[in-house]
This record gives sequence, structure tokens and C-alpha cells, in this order.
Amino acid sequence: MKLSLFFLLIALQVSAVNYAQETINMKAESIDLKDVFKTIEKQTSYRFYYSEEDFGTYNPIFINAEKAGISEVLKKALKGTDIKWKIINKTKVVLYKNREQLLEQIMMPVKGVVVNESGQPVQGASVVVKGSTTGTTTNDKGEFSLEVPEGVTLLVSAVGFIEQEITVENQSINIVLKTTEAKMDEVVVVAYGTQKRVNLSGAVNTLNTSQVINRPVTSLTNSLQGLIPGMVVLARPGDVGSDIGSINVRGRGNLGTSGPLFIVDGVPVTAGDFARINPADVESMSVLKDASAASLYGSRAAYGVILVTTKRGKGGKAVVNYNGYYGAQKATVLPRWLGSYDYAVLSNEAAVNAGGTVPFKAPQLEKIKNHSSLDSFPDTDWYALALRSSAPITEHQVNVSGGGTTRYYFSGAYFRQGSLIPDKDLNRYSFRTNVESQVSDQFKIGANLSYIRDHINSESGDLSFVSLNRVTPLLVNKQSNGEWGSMNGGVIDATLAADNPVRKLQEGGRNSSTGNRFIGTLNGTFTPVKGLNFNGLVSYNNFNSINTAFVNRMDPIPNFITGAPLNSTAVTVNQLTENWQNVTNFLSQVTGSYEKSRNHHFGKLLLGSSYENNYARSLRAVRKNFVINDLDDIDAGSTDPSNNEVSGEIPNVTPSGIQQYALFSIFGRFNYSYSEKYFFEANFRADEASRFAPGHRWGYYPSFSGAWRISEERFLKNSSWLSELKLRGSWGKLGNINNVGNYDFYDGLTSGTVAILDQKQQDGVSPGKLFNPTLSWEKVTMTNIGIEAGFIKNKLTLQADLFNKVTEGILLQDESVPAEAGLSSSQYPSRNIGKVQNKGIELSVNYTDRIGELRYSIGGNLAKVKNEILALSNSGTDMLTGTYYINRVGEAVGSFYMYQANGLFVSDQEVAQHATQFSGTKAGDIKYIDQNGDKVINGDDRVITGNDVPYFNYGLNASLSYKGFDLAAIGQGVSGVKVYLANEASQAFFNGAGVKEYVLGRWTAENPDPNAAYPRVLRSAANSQNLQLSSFWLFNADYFRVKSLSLGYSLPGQVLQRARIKGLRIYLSSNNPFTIRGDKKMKDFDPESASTRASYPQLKSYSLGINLTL
Amino acid sequence: MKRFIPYSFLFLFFIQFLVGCSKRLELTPQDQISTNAFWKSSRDALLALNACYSSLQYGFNYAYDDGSSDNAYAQYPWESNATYISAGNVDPSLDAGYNSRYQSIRTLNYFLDNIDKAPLDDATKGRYIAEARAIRAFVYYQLAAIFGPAPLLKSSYTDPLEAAAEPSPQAEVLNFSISELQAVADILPVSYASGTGNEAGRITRGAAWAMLTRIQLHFAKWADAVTSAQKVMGLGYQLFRVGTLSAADRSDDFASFIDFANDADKEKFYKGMASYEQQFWAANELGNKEIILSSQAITNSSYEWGNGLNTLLPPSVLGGWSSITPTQSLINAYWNRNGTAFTPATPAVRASNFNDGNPNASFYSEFKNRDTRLYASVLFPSVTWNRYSDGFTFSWKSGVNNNNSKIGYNFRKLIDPAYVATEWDGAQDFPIIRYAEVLLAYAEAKNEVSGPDAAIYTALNDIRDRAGMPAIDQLVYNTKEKLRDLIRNERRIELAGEGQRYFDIRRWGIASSVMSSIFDLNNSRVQERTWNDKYILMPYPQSAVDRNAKLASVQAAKGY
Repeated sequence: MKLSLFFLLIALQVSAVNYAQETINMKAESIDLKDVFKTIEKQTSYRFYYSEEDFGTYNPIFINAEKAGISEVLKKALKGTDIKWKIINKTKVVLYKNREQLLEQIMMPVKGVVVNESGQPVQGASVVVKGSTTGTTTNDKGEFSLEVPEGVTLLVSAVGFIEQEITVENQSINIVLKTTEAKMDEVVVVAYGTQKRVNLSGAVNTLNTSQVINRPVTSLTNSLQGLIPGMVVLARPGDVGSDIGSINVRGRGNLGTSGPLFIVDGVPVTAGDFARINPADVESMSVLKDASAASLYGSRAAYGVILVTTKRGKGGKAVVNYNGYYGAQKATVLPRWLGSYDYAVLSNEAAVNAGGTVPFKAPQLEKIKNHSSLDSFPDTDWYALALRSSAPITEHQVNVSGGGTTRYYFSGAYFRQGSLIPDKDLNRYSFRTNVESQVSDQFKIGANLSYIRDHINSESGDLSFVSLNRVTPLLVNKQSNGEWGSMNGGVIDATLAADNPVRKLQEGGRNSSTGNRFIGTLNGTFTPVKGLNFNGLVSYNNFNSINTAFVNRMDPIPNFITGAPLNSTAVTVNQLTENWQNVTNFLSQVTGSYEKSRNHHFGKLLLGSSYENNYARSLRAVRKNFVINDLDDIDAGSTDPSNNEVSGEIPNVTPSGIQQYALFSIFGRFNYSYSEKYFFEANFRADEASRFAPGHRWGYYPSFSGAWRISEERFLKNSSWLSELKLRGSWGKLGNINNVGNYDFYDGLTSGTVAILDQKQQDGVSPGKLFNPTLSWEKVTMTNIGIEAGFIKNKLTLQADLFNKVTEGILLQDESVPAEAGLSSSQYPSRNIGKVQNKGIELSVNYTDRIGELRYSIGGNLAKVKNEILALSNSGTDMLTGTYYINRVGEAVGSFYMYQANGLFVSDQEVAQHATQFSGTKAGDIKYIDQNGDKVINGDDRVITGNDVPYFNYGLNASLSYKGFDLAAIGQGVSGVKVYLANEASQAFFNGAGVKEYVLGRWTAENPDPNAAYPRVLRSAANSQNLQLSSFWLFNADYFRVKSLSLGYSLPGQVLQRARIKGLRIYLSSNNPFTIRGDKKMKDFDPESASTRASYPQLKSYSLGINLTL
Repeated sequence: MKRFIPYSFLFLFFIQFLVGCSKRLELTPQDQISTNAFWKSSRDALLALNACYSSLQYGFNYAYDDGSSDNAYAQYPWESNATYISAGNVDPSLDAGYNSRYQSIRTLNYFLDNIDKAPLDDATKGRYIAEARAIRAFVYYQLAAIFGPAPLLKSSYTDPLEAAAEPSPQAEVLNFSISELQAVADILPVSYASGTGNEAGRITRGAAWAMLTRIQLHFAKWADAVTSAQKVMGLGYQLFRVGTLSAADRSDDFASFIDFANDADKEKFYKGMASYEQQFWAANELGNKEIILSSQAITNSSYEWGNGLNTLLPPSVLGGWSSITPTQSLINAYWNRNGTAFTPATPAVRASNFNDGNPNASFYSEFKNRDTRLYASVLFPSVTWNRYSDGFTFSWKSGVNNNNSKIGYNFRKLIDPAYVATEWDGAQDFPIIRYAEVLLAYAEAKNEVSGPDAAIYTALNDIRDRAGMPAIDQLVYNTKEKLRDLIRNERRIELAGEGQRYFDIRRWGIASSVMSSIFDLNNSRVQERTWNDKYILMPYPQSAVDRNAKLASVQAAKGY
């Protein structure tokens, strides 16, 4: 409700007179207040402003005044009422009961000048009354004038400067705008509160949110790439919905997942929740990197904390923002497969190399070359047939904010991303409501609601990229008679025909997945006295997902030669699978804080407690044998028990079954500062977790930090070149609980089907994972030293941090348990073994300046981490992990472990002289280094050959603006990274697969190049000597990539004012437009892809969009 | 005011503490049974016993063992160790079944250590214990057979480090297996009536004696093997025979391969073929008196409980992967139809006759009038298999084709043509021990003890006759040595594909002469094979040696 709605303004025409000695004569027995005012108005030039409704209710009064001044009369008249008055501009008398009524009435002319930090006028700056459309822009001298009520807030903004709010108290205002990058005065969101950046003593980086909005990026996570030093975002390629990226802060601290903790508006959320936040809703984001900043989050803060605050209502009239873009996505690079002629020629070569007969004789080669017999010898480009060349991406966001004592922010967004797989797309709907109400001077309550729905629908069957890589160009897709292809290089090939990815896409089935993410939070703040705050928060976070997949019944493909059906190509049983998963997280939390400053001393104490309970549940149901393929209801399937399957576990989904954990915590922080020069902070948290056995449940996390703003010292204070210099240091302990299973401490037995007896499945009970009742947390000790500096009026700013982070008691599946203990890999006990150190340096530099109207800023950041495993387990020092990796004391996490290839053998003679390799090794095969010199190549000769974790990361960004135009670019790169591309991804004819273009540079007897790109070609059955894990198949994955490029034009203020629009910007934006890659050998894989045999391609996108503010 | 501040703090935290504590932090898994809450009923005991049977599951994997011998070629190195072992690339990087067997031992020891807690009558308890001890004895026999010395863990550990025991000598492990089986064999019932607790497929008295027979035969305890085999032979087992032939049984016309003397001869052939082939089919499982111990499989269970051989053995065109395919050497081993040894053509002549898929008439002469079991076990060019796919004729040529044999032959044996629709979905059980093996073991052991005698001929002729083959010519095979050669070849073909050949070539000391490179029908080399006598025993996996230092010296002594 707006108070002004109740006002009836009474304003009379006034002619200015001499009012200095105006006196009033009035005598009345019983006169209404209204008549008192009227009488005064008749006698003087004073004019009254008030709400008739408010003053109609007072009883008539007695008044007697002779030659009295205005104050004297009003004092008498209003005695005993709750009415106050104020005289403005000497003649305007405003009567009011509360301050807001007053403010509504006081219009005053305001003049001002807007200058930049060096005192030069800023032209074209917009000066707007906050929450209204009243406003103007500055002229070429930086001047403006406006008539506004006294006490309102003006928003002053200009491109390249930080928006400033100024409360109107004087008629003349001088505003100094600071350039965007000078962020020392910025308020930063920290654990359970906010702090001024200058006062920070911990390592915190904040995000410039303008860098993440308006970009055709598929997740908030991916949009952060390259922006914050020490925060590594891996944007692995993936199909829609699985391309959301992952974050690691300050190196891999353990041997499992080292993901940060995400807190959105005070509520812990999952990485998936975070990634799907609408970037336009983000007000601020802080990355807490050191122990001091993060330790208030205790047992989950070991790998950093990312705090997000979403937008609140700013107050005032409603402001509407719209942002929309439409774009197209294309693959950055697709695998380049050889056409059928080259394929056939190499097939022959492979057969000859293996001592066999040539599969394609001259007449056949002729047919392949001429494309004269396409039913037998086609030239199929499977990627072109299976994938779309481009897929659309579009987003529409609207938000509305405003309010008075109750402030609101509503937003809605629709995001649609097409997949390169035909008929498949992702639709994301996001809704957010943040409401805050100042119920009284002492109470404030608020509610945050967000709901995000991801819906991926595919009318196509499943596409396996392994299958897509396995089909060969000589396999027919469709025969000339319209049947699906059954011929492969002139012979019937039932295996590949059944694997035809195009047929599977078109006829194989359909699938969909829906994820619903709801977060509801209620919070209240009670401020009994100034400086004392109590805050309570309760929230429920619910994730609910349903995935369905229908596998169609398919007729067999006819044998093209005989016409008889190839039975193995049929799918005889159709089936529908439904997976349901629900995860709820309950949080209740109270904090209390008290702060006080006296003289130069400032102190603040925060205490808090929280309880969290997480419950996950899943269910999977399968039915087979539906009468037809088109039915979606699981009840339509056969009810025969052998066609039914129900399970609590969903493959590849965690958590699965029923999983529950709870956490109770107490925490506190103490801040002290002297004269904004010396800062000290201490944090403490204690967590009690259900994941440990009683007696081992509590973990304690203290931290301390201090800072010294040297630039505030007298000897530097007036320096012309140094604007800011701060040294800070911290030490503290953090924990990690995420790698502990919920029940690893529990002595239990597993049950399930164990055997077939009596021709039936039999249940059984057996010992499962070895339990460990003494299990505890991973403990991280972190030391950080940092420096923040600003030079030349903060045009140049610099932040640097050095850290040392040691993780102890890393939770590992203890693989040192003897094999004779009879544990499968999932049954090894979890133990606190292992120790990893991360030492690193982070640096970010920004320079902002202007040349005339051209404003520009350039910035760069880099982070280098040295990761070293210090200890692993009780016995044995090596742990092989996955297929490719080893964890070895003294080495980094993520090290590849395999034979070191040393080029190719030039001759059989060289093979004979070299250490014995494999029975089939010949000239042209890979030469492995005999590391131990025992003249035999075996497991002992494996060494560490590289690493796939980007321990050196850098980012560059630049922006410039001229008049209404703006241009911005973000680049990001990694160095020292390798990727293992196995099987089809690099190896010709792997289990019948096709051949990539780079194989043409192979070793041949005619050209026995020891450094050829590929060894002599062989089919995989005869090629085990070359297919061994070796560094030959490691490819350089270094890259520098322009992640984002955008060009915008904002329409000038004058034009917009006429159209009653506050802002309109049109922009072109691109994601991943350019890449410089380290790999010079294969060149057809994306350097951001993981070590794998096949994957969905990485995408780049281009879009056109508008921002509109009303 | 000053007092108010601390009090309000206290009040709020008190409330929060109540919230925190009222919801307990005591959260236990909902899919596990607390160890303390188990062993409270007879059903608990049965469930724990059932888990002991998991080590008998997926018996079809034994077929890969033939790929480590001269019988077959397992072409995919990612499917099994057989590709590496047959090539002679044997090193500690491969695990020839060490880890999985100790996983079984863990479950078995856990059962045996705790069964006393369950409320059971003595007879039931005694039988349950006997079943588990027999399975454990069989697992230890396999460890000793594959690896030689092995740590002998007879009870559960409290600290897993206790399991890193000194390997016991092979003889000690074997003696343990033998004495365990001897102790429990006669406690076990001769058969099970089926139903809860009495399911068909549990260890019977016959199975225990048959295990003993196998162990004693393997380690040349000939007289003991004879005794054990005789125990089995006295329990009513019979070779599987088809009584009357159906039209489907005659659906493949072998007239072009076999010169039938008369209708009775033809009947004998088809009956022999059906009897040999169909003993492995699901339809005949019930009441098949030849089965002593089997690894059961069921249909419609996707990958989990099907007999994978229906997918692993057939050629691509029948939906198979040709993962394990017969070698020329196995083809050559089948007798002539009159029971005499077959003389193969030279590889060069065969290749020229075959002419890469365009064979001349002479090529087929090698497939004429051979042992019935050749036709029942192997698909060779131009043979039909209408029962699997009507009108199917096997053909083969070299070159680019996926999931086809690299040699030119596929297995037909062990595939049940009733399950052609879904990958991996075969309901036929895999025979771990069948009566024919016991008869062969009896014959071999008895011959070693005392040379040829009537009982031996009877046992062997039973096998021959079931396959529609003539009786042994006692005048020809009349010495211990001659009969030994016959028994060995008979054993090879009768048990082809069942995993026995792996151990047979090792215990007979013939591996070095038979493990030679293999070639396809074009005489083009398919796999280079090398042999070293240390391969008689497999190395412990390196990961096991790393974690149990006591294995190292034994590993070195074995030559690895």
C-alpha cells in the first residue's frame, strides 16, 4: 500500500511576497484545524501541504494569537496532537505525522555536477530518482538539474562507473563517480553476513556480475570460466543438461571430488542447483578461498565456498527489466573420419601388415572410389546423418522490482537449448521471488522462493557416441530399396547394421527427463537495539526428478542379398523405464551479532547455530512388452512378473535407494579493527555429523586472520600514486565430509539376489563393505598471505595471494587391504589415510582508464597450483585409479601412468635390439622406453607421463565503451594438461571402428618415419602391442580460448525518455568463438573434453539479444 | 539492556539446540541389516548360505578357459584373460581369478563362523555347513590349480590385515580341500526335493564326490580318483539321451556330409546328435540325470542372470559376438565316424581348397563322416542350423567383418536355440560337472592304476554310444599307453568348450607342444602363440603381491 494514495494535496496559487516579518492574528473559540490553516494562508504567504484525511478527525480548538510568528501559532494549534511540521523554502509548510508523508511533499530544485575521480566532468551520466521515472542526464559540463522531493535517493550511473546512490539533502550536489574496477568501497558478502572489502582480512574474490549475464551459456557455472583466479571451471562438453560444468577452488585437495560448497541466500545447495540459477538473478557472488573466509562453514568448506546473493527489491516504483536473446550453437570441432576409399585402402594395408589377405581387391576399390555400387560400397558420413549442423539456443528473462517498506523482486526466465541430436531439447523455466518487509523498526522478515524446472525431451532414441564412432563409412545407412542398411563393404554385417545410430535415433525410442528444484526460505531479523541483530532462517530445498526411457520394439533389418530378416537386428522386447528421485534438505539456523565502535575501536561478535537434515530416496520401475511402442504409462506394459522390475537403486545415480544425513553446528566469529587500519578476525565452528559413529561425530574448525592497511598510515596516506595497499594473512582449519559415505561407519550386511537355484533368483545375505567405526573428517590446514593494492587513483588494482593447503586424513577406500581379505573394490573400507598438499599463487590485475569518451579496462588473472601427494596409505605407496591414473606419493593427483612411448620402430632390426616388447611387435610399432633397463617391457616400465588436471590456469578480459557502444571479451586458458584419447577416439579400426583423418600420416614401410603421427595400421585384434596404455595416445590439451565476446549498443537517454523507456541495449554475443590449441597431432578433438573414447562435441554459439528496462 | 543481550542469545540457541537434538543424528542405512540383528532365525541362516552359492554363478565364463588352450581362440582382450594367456603374454598384470575367489572365501568363512548362532536343528545345520564347506573346498582347489601355493584362510578375520597370510604349499591347500570334501560328502543328501531350503542346484553328495574325483585326477591321485568316481557312479547318474526324435531334431540335413548306411544308421546319428547337443538346453534341465553340479541361468533377466554364451558364441549374423571360436586343432581332434583317428589335410591344401569362401568339393571332404559331436559342436562353412534360424547356412570369408570368427569356425555346442531374441538371454544352465566327466575321469584314473579293463571300456562306450558313435575297438586300444591317448582325445572332444582343456594340457605336460600359433582357413595367421612352462601356474596379480608381501618370494619362485 502506498501512503501517497491517501493524500489529497491542497496547493494554492501563491504570489511571492515579503514574508520575513509576517505575523498572524487569530482568535477563535472553536475552530477546526483546517480553518486555522486557511486563516493563516489568507493572512500570509505561507502555504500548507497536508492530507485532509489525516486532519479532518481532530476536535475543534481554542486559539488566541496576536502578532504571533508562524511557529508560535502552530505550536499552540497543534499542541497535544501527533502532528509535526516543517517549513520548506520559507513559505511551504508541510504537516505530517511521519517522515514519509513529509518526504512526499518536499519538492526542491537540485543542481549538481557529476565528475570522475580525477575531477573531470562526466557527460551523459544518468541521474534518476530511485524507483521512479523522474530523471535527466548530464550535459557536456557534467551538470544536471532536477526538481525532487527532499530526502529521496538519486541513482547516478554512467557506463564504466560504479552506480552511486545519493540522498538529496542539499540543493547542490557534487557527485564523484568511481570507475567500475575501483572496488575498494564495495560491500562483500561473507559467511553469515557482509563486510566492506577494505575491512576483509581473508581471501575473498567477488564476481563482476555483468560478465555473466546476457551470454548464451548453458549454466551459471560455465559462465564463470576464466573470471576468478584460483577457481577452475571445467566446462566438459556434453549433451543438453549434462554440459553444466564443474568447479574446483585452489587445486584438488583430495583424491576424490574436491568441489566447493555452494550457499545461495544463506542456504546450502547442490552444484546442480547452483549451475541452473538464472544469471540475471545474481546480485553478487563471493568466492571464499582461504581458511579465514571459509571456516565458518566448517566440515564442508575444505574446497572453498561460493556465496551467491540473489537480487532484492531496490525500493521505489516498480522497475521492469527484460532480457532476451536468440542464438545458434555449432560444434567447435567434429571428429574427422576418413571416407570409404581411404578407409578401404588402409584396411588393405592393415591386413597386409598383419600378414593376412587383402579384404578389398582392385575391382572393389574401383567401385568404392567411383561410388558406383553404393548398395555394397557406400561412402557414409555418419556424423552428418546423425547430428544437426546447428541447434538453437534462446532465453527470455523478465524481472520486476520495487516496493516501500515491503520490497519485492520477481523474476521469471525461459531458456531453451536444442541438442545437436535431432528432436531433442532442453527447456528450463526459472522463477524467483524475493520479498522483504520491514514490519517494524525492530523486525524485518523476508521470504525467498525459487523454482527451476529442467525438462529434456527427446523424441529420438538414444545416441551412443561410441556407436557413432564405431560405424564405418562402408556401412550402408539405407539401401537403394529403402530398407535400412545391412551391407558393410560388400558383405552382410548384422552387428553394425543393428548398431546403426541413425536407425536407433529414428526408430529406437524416446526419452525424457525432468528435474524440479524448489527452494523455499523464510528469514527474520530482530534488531532490539542498534548494533544487535538476531537472525533466524528456515528453509526446505527439494529436488525431484523423473526420467523415462522407452526402448522401441523394432523389426529386423532384411538381409539385402537374400531378403531374409537378420534376426539379431530386431529388438523384440520393448520396454519403459521410469526413474524417480527425490532429495530434500531441511535447514534451520539462528545467528546473533552485536557490534560496537568507540573512538577508533570497532568490535563485532557473531554467534550462530544450525541444523541440517538431508533425505534422499529413489525408485526405478521397468516394464517390458508393451502392445505398441507409443504408450507412456507404465501400466500399459505386460504384468507378467518376468516383465517387471522394481528397484530402489538407479544405475549411475547418486544418492540412490534411501540415503540420509544430518549435521548440527555451532559457530562464531569475532572481528576487531582499529582505525580501519588494523584488522583482526577469529572464526570457530563445531560440526556434529551423523556420518560417523557416536563418539567420533564432532569436528572443530578454528581460523584466525589479520590485515594491515599500510596505505592508511600517515607516511603513505597522501601518496599520489598509491591509493590502496593492504597486507593480510590467515591460518585455519577446514573439513571435508563429502567423500564419506552416509553409513561407512555402520557394521551391516547386504542383501539381494545372489544366485539362481531351482531356476529362480534366490535372495541372500552377505558381508558387504568393511565398516570403519573410527572414521573421521578430512582435515585441511590452510595458510594464506595476500596483498591488495590500488595505484594511480585505483586505475590499476592488483590482488595477489599465496597459499599453502594441506589436506590430512583424506578419506580413501583403503586399497591396501590384502586381496585375500576378499573385498570387491566397492567394499574396501573408507579410511582417513592420505595427505595432499596444494601450494599456489593467484594473481589478478586490472587497469581501467579512459581516453576522452573511450573508456576501457583490461584485466588478467592467473593461478598456479603445485599439487603433491604426501602420503597415501598404511602400506604400499601407489594407487592405480581408473584406467589411466596413478596416485603416487610425491606426485600430483590426476597423473597418467603408462608406458612412455618413444616414437616408432624404424626396422625389425631395431625391434630385435630393443627391450622385448610384445609378441607381435614389428617395425612401425610404438617403441616403449625400458625404464628399468631389464630388456623387457612390462608393468615395471610404466611411468608418470603427464597430468590431466589444469594446475595452471589463466584468464584475460577486456572491455571498452565509446558513447553508446560497448565491447567485451573474456578469454581463458590452461597449460600443462594432457588428455588420453583411447579406443575409437584415436585408434584406427578399433574393434571394427572407422579411421580418423590423422591416421593418414601413419608409419609405412616406404616412409619409415620414427616420428610419424600414427604407427603402422593394424586392426585391433592384431594390434595389442600398440593399444597398450602409453603416452603415444596422450594428446596435448593446452588451449587458450575466447570464452565470450560481446558487442552492444545502448540507445541514448534522450531518445529513450521520449519513449518512456529507461534503457535499451542491443547486443551480439558469442560463446567459445575462437580457440588456440596446443595439440598439433590429431586436431579434431576439443581440448576441454575429458579422457574418453567418445563424447558429445563441445559447442560454440552466437546470439543476438536485447536488454530493456522500463 | 546489558543483561538482555546475553539472555536473548542464550534463549535463541536453546531453541536451536532443541531443534538439533530432537531430530536425532542417529541415522542408519535402510538397505543393510545390522550384524547384531542377524542370525536370529533359520531364514537368516538360509539367506547367508544362499550367498555362498554366488561363487558358482556365471559358470559360462569357464568357456573362456578353452580360449587359453588349444581348443579355442578368445579374440577380444577386453573380455577375458584368455587372449593374453594364449598368446603367451602372461605377467602379474593379469588376474587369473585370484581376487574373485577370495571374495567367495570371505562370504563362506563368514557363514561358517556364524552359523552356530542361528536357531537350527542339528540335521539342517549340519547340512548347511556341509554345503558351505564343500563349496569352499572347491574354491580352494581352483586356487591351488591355477596359482599353486595359496594363503589358506579357514576362518573370518577381524582385522583385514590378518588375511595377508603366508601362501600354503599347493599340496597343503589340496589336502585341505580333499579332507573337507571327504568329511562332508556323506552328510549331504543325494538330491534335493526343490522348494525353499531344498532348491535343486545345491551341493549334493554326488557333487562332493565328483569334486573329489576332479581334484584327485588333476593331481594324479589315481587310486583315490577311482574310488571317488565309483562313489558317484553308484548314485544313479546317467548320461542324457533323447528317447524319440522330433521333426525339429532332424531339421538339418546332414546327408551331404555323412554316408548313412541305412535308416537305422541315420536314426543313430540324429539321436546321438540330439542327445549330445540337447543335454545343454534349458528344456531338458528338469530331471537331467547327467548334471551333477551346474551354474544356473534364467531367461528375461537381461544381462544379470542369463547364460552369456548365447551371445558370446554365435556369429554376427545370428546376433552373436564370436568371442570364443574353435581352432582348427579342435576340429582335427574329432574322430572319424567309425571311431578311428582323423587325418587332416595340410593347412596349405585346405587353404587352396577353401579359396577364401569359394570352396571346392575337396574342401568338404574334411567334414565328411566325422564324429557326431563335431556336427553338434561346431559350425563350419556351408553347414546349416535351421533350429536357430530357419534357412541359416554358415559361411565365412576373411576380411572386414565384425563379431565374426577370425578362424572360420564358430561353436554350436552350449548354445540353446530357444533363446535367440535378446542379447545375453539364455536360460540354459552351464554344467560345472556332468556325469560324462566322471566317467572319463574314472577311465583315465583306472587306466593309470591298472591299465585297460572292461570297466574302463564300459564307461567310455557309454559316452561313445550316447553320441551315436561306435564302441572302442578293444583290439586296437589294448595297452595302457594307447588307451591313455584315446581317453585324452575323447576327453578333449567330449568336454570341448567346458573349460577342462586348460588344466588338461597342463597336467598332461603337453602344453608346450600344443600351444602353437593358430591359423584361419586361408592359412593366414590369426594369433601368434608362445609357451613357457612357467605358465602351468598363473602369477598372483601384482596388486595382490603389493598388498601381501608374503606372496613375493613364491611369485619369484614361480618365475614371475
